[in-house]
Amino acid sequence: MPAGRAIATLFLTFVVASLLCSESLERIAQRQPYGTTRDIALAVTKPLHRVAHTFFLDRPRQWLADVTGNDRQPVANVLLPTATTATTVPAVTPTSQVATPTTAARRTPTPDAPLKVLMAGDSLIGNISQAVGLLVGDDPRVALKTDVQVGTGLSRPDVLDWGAELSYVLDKQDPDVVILSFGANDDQPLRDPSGAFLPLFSDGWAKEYARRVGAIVDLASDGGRRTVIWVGLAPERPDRLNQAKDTFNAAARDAAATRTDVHFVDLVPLFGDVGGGYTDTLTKPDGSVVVVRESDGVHLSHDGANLLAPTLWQSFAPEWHLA
Amino acid sequence: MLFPTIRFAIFFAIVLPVSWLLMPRPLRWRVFMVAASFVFYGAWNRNYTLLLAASIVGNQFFANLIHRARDDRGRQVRMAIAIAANVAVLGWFKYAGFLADTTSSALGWLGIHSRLPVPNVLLPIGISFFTFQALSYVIDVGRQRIKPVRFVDFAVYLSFFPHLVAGPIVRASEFLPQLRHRRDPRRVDAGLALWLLAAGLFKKVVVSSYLATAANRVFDFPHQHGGLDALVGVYAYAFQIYADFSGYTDMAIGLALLLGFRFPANFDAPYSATSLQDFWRRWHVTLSRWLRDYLYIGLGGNRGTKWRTYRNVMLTMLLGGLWHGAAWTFVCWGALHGGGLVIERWWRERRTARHPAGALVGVPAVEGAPAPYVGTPQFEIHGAAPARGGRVWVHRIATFHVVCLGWIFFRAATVHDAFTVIDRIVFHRGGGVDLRLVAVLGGLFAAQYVPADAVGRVQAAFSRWSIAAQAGALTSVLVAIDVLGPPGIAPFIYFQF
Repeated sequence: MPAGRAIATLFLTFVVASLLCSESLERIAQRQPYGTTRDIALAVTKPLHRVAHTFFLDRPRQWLADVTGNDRQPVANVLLPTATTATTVPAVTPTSQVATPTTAARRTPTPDAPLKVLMAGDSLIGNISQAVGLLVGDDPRVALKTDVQVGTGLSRPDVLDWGAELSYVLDKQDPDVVILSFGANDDQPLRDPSGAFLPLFSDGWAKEYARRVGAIVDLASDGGRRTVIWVGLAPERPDRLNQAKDTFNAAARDAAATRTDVHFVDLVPLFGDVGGGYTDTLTKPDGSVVVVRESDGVHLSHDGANLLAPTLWQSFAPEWHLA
Repeated sequence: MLFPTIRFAIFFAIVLPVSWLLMPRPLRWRVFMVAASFVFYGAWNRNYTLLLAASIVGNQFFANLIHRARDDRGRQVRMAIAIAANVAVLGWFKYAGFLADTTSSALGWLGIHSRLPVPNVLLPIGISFFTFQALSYVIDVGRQRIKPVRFVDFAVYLSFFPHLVAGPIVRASEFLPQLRHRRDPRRVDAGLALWLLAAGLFKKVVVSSYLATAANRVFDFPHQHGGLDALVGVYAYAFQIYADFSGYTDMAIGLALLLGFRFPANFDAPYSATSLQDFWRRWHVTLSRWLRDYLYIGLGGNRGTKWRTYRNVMLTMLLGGLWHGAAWTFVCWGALHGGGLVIERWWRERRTARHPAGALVGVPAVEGAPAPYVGTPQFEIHGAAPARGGRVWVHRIATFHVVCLGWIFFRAATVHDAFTVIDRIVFHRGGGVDLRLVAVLGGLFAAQYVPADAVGRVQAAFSRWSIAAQAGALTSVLVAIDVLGPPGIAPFIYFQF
């Protein structure tokens, strides 16, 4: 086949597929970081989708998605309380917005009714969840599940609405303990529920982020029915993220302070150097030196996560009568 | 820039027509292709392009130096320096941290607690691949198989974006002759190329991602799974890495075909192998050929006592394991394959000694045999060997499970985790199994046995369709991928190598 024919075939494929999948393309454009690339991408994909929709060209793909049930892009009124879409997940409504102090006794897990622990968040929770798994071992009193969504966070519900995602997972698994970790991808501007653009590090940005942390925590806690552990961010090597982590940690710390069943695990004293700054390594009590961070300077290494796991365990195990 | 992204589609939509428009002007075409390849590579990290440029300049310098040597000894010495320089660069970027950690651990056992300082070095994507390709060039020049080519030709070869970051490992002696002759736009095997692109994309985006969920569950929390569940998780990983890697390779080969170049095949129904030796003729074929021709033969091959041969096999596979990653899990994986190959060889020699007519399994590959090229008349994807009685199936199932045992080490985060998974499979019963997953795995295993000529006939028929029909088929595949694939692009497993 001549090259020209191949180019023509590819071009025709590109055009037709772009029209049929225009809704996906627009979604992909929306997920880009705020900036010129996103603006250009939306400038192309939005009209494309409008044209495709007008001529019913996006229906075949939509039909296929409905049949396979594989196009879940739900939004819940958690992170963005005024959000409306065609697909709205009814958020698992907490029984109260802020848990009143309770001394509710926790049940004692057994092999027949194990403690269900959900570890959810961005990629930071990946190694951490494995370390907790290693610590728990084959203890039949504990059942672990994860929901790791790489490249997501609380700043961009248009990428993944964690309010909807968490609602769905909580409804499906009904865990007793929820361990959350966010922030690695949140050092970026955000839009508040009214759509106003809030630049990074502005007061409005910090307040809005804190509101979202509170909303997620309340969703996970369900009025104190669940124990919620929020894993803070350790000192980070990238400067912008390191600066942003202070806001994230403060928001989580404040949320935990006003809720009895929410605990904040501060990683700064655990993984920072003497001045609370970034370090790749830690010296254990026996004198051995351990590499605790991945080469990206953000994620905990497996060894680092293994050092954290006992602290996480202690943050909820006694409450649930586990040694 | 990843292949299965819109950004790459836009990039290739520009590069493809411009490449053919510039084809009548060879020098301009070469400069354009090098520039495009640097744009491709620089999309990950602009600093990487400096390393690639340095590799091109350095290895071309070495090749000329080796070629100008007056005698064999001079050539050998210069070749050794070139190899050492490449290995040192690869070692620095890839293994410095591993060596520091291993040394620190060893010192720790002796009661000396310290860590060798190692600067934070980001591993450049594809460094293992293009370093091996550069080594093939300087070694082939040193062995006088080829002469050094013009700088710009070598630059095109080493930086050529379809194979730059994840192979196949195309040797200089395979690529450069194609560069010498102007590619004929009337003879582009576009039907095969488009087929490979569509199939590769589907395998990479849909199949691999689906299986990753099942595999990750088991490997992340091995203690939480019963034996059967863990075993199915390992099977899922076996096909995940196959779909991921062969999918990417298919796309690379398809892209190269559209640009007028033929790459060697990299996979040939690997899970239908009847022995480990057969497996390595079917899995990552370009790597296994490279290891055979540049490492195993360099160590002496089978020219010596049988123990020396066993040593060479073992060393080759250990280093092959280490090539995949700077971790003891990869060393274990290599050791398992090396040990298995040694045992097969010993068994084969024993059988041959007792039955001089020859063994059923494991005829040694001809050393230095040329690679089959995708799309040429000489190319034969052998597919599964015809079944000859139940014994062949015993060999196949056994080989598949030995390979899966290796994958446990390959995938596990630590050696301890690998043994935990093995422990779960061997000593713990039960565990719920997803029947849909089992059905998918069964289908994928059966697909290994689809006759190669049947696939070839479908490909040939597709090539004869009209533009509209082909575009329709490709569009259907893209829509299916869009619907069935996960949001975002899953990382490609072999990028870390």
